[in-house]
Amino acid sequence: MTNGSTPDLACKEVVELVTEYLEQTLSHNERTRFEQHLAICGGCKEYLREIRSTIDLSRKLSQGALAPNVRDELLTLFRKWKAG
Amino acid sequence: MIAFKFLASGAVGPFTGFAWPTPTSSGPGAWVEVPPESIPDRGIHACLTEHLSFWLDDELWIAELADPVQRSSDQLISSRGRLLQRAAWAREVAIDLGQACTFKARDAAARVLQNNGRLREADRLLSCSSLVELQGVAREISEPCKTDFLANLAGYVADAATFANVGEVATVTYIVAEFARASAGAIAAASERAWQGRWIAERLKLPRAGEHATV
Repeated sequence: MTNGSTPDLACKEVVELVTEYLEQTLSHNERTRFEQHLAICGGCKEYLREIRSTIDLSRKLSQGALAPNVRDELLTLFRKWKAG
Repeated sequence: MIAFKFLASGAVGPFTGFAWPTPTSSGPGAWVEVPPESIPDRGIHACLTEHLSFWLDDELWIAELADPVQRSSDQLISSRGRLLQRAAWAREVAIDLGQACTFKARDAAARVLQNNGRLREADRLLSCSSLVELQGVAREISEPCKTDFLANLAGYVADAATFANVGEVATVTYIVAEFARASAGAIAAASERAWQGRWIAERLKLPRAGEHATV
């Protein structure tokens, strides 16, 4: 959805560009295409909302917010994953 | 400069989540200013009439942008802006827009079919009086041969009717602009978008965008 000079974004491309969009590193043209896609795609709009919400929630997490048994369980899983 | 701005419900920026100060009984909403150190093309975004349908959302506001205003392909950007007044954009107006766009595309598709001697298919499209009927008939015309360009145009009409039926009007405006692009090129797509914007402006009796505010 553009003025005719650039192709539309597909949902897959929106997913790929979401980090750059949130970090404000897209060019003006890319951002406009991104937002025009959001304007017509409820699914992508919801996806962006969820990513923003996840980022906000992650910021509120601290080490102390994690129960010790959950932390140990996560560390064990992580070490197993690292060990292959 | 007078411009238009679609916002999510509650006067919230649909992409930024920014809650805009709304007008009160004593006057327009407070000016919102973008810090001068921000990235050059970031700013207060709004649009002219011809670009309205790119940005459809829950609420439409008449806004004022302070000079200088930068014009990009389908929006305006300024470092300062404020909301002047909420326009009477509502769900039922959006539904009417979706229907108007779909039947306009139906008429255009029928003309192309007529011009190519496919009178029976054109008549079938033109005989439809409801979106549900149009969706079914246009789909029947488009389905048998996906490589038939003329039948494919009916496919756009079927898609537009499908989304108009469920009230997804932003998608309808997009499909109909793409129908115009497929049948007559990029200029036709821009003309379709401009028509959609004029439809909104006339229906809501919007002031002329691009002029200086007198508030």
